[in-house]
Amino acid sequence: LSNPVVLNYLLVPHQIGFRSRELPYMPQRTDRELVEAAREGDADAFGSLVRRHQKRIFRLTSHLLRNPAEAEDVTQETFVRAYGALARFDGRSEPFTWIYRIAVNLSLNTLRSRKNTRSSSPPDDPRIEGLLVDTHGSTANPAEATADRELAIALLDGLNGLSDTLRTTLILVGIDGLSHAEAAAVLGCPEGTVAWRVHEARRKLRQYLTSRGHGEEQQKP
Amino acid sequence: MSGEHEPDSKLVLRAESLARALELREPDWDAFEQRVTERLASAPPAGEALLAPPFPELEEERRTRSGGEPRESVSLADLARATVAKRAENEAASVAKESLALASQQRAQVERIAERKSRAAAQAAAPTPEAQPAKTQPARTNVWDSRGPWLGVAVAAVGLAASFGLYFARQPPNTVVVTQPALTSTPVTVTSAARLGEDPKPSAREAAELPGNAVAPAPSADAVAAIDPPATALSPAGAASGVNSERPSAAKSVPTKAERVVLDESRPAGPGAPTAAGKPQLRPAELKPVEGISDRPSTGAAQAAVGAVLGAARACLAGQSTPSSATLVFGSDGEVDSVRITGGAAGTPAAACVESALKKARVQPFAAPSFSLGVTVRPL
Repeated sequence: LSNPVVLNYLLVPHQIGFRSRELPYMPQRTDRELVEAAREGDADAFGSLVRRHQKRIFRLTSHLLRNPAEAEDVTQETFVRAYGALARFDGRSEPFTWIYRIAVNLSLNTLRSRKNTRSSSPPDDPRIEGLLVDTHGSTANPAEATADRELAIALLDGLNGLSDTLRTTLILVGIDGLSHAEAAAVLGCPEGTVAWRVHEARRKLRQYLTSRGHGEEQQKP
Repeated sequence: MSGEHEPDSKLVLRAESLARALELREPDWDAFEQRVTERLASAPPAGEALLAPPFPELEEERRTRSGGEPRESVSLADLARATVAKRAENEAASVAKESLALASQQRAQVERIAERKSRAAAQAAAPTPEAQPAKTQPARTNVWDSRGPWLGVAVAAVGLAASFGLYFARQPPNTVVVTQPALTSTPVTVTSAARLGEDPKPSAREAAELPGNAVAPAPSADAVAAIDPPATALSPAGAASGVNSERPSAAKSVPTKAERVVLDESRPAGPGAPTAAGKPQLRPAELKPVEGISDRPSTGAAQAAVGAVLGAARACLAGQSTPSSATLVFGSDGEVDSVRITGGAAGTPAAACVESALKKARVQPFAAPSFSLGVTVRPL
């Protein structure tokens, strides 16, 4: 448990895809150990890596792409490309940030190709669909649940209006829960830049939400 | 992890937490893993683009992040300092060019005067029939061959005599004026830097014709323009000040078009003033003072001295609408003894500021006990 990576997964159980299979009955190998093993031809090791990160990568690509089918394809492609590039993993960063970077790049490629082929946004937005599912027991107060739903939808709309840079950074930090250092490793920029981008994105989102009638007085303690 | 987000809006943070709590409709992960495993055998190599940083720091981001908003961080004082530094740099280059032009012009004048003097001396020293053929080249050769040394001595003696004669015959106005201490003042209005260059012209001509002052006459703006036309924007006096290492910034604040500098020509006769009996004091050599000191500062030097500090004085009147007049009294050491302010700034705190600024003006030491100068100071 002293390993920060393992501790991280224990503290954020809903983001862990491998928990039911590997915890708490077997010792966990770190991502680096799995990568090393996969490099030496251990297919199960890479499978463990996929199971460990597939859900997080899927959430990331879903938020970036807003299309479940494209998100699943890109997630799959991310692991396949990562496996093909294992020999080029230099170990300077954490394996999961390295995989995240591949996922972000593939998502951006998909967005660019989508812009070239489509003019309108995809009709089936996974985040809006997810909002329709009550996940944290707010149904006890229907009015509150409705307000939460409207606020979340407004935030997602606001995210759509941001630039790719700000949107990706805020999704990584604000929604996916990466630290500034981790987001910086994924995006390839200094931590200060990540902080600035997050601040800028939140400033614009705050303006947007305020313009949509979601004032500060609607906050709950 | 998200504890680093303060102090952003709680509203946005709450919206983010709602979005973070969303449970997305997920695929069948077992089937997903199987598909991935099947594809691993034929996994294509990842290109460089996929491993490259997707959003590296942009230059604009770096500037904004390190210095805040770039446009807002530049204060007016910074802009003013940068402008002054740039102008001083340009003017220093112009002054250097102008100085070279002046030096070249002075050399030419010295040569012309020397040639004229020797010609006059030769004519005065050799009126005899033997000397007449000296006008032609063969005869002159004969004369020099036979009586060269003696003739040289005679020419030198006559030349000296002719010099003294010429000098006393063409005594400069300032030496004559000394005998009339209460001379009526002659205002000189300067409306532009180009006109500053016009004023010293007669003085330059007079000085050039004086034997002892031929080393450094006041420059001619036309001559400067002929060599380096862009350099005419600066007054010759400014150039002279620029050459002087003690006052390298004298040319920085040449009076602008709207400024009016009135010179008070009246001055009392000082102890060092020339008289008919004594050897007359030469006009001050602005580039290279030869010997002694002048009776009073030259027009160009006075203008340059005031122009150097006029900008600071005008800044004192920022916000005012009416111009003020100042009368500067220079002491014989070249420093400003007193400043009297009249007009809009009189009696206000700005007067002290203007006085302080104008008191920094310096001219070359002069012989007269004092020298006064009127200046119109307009608000910036």
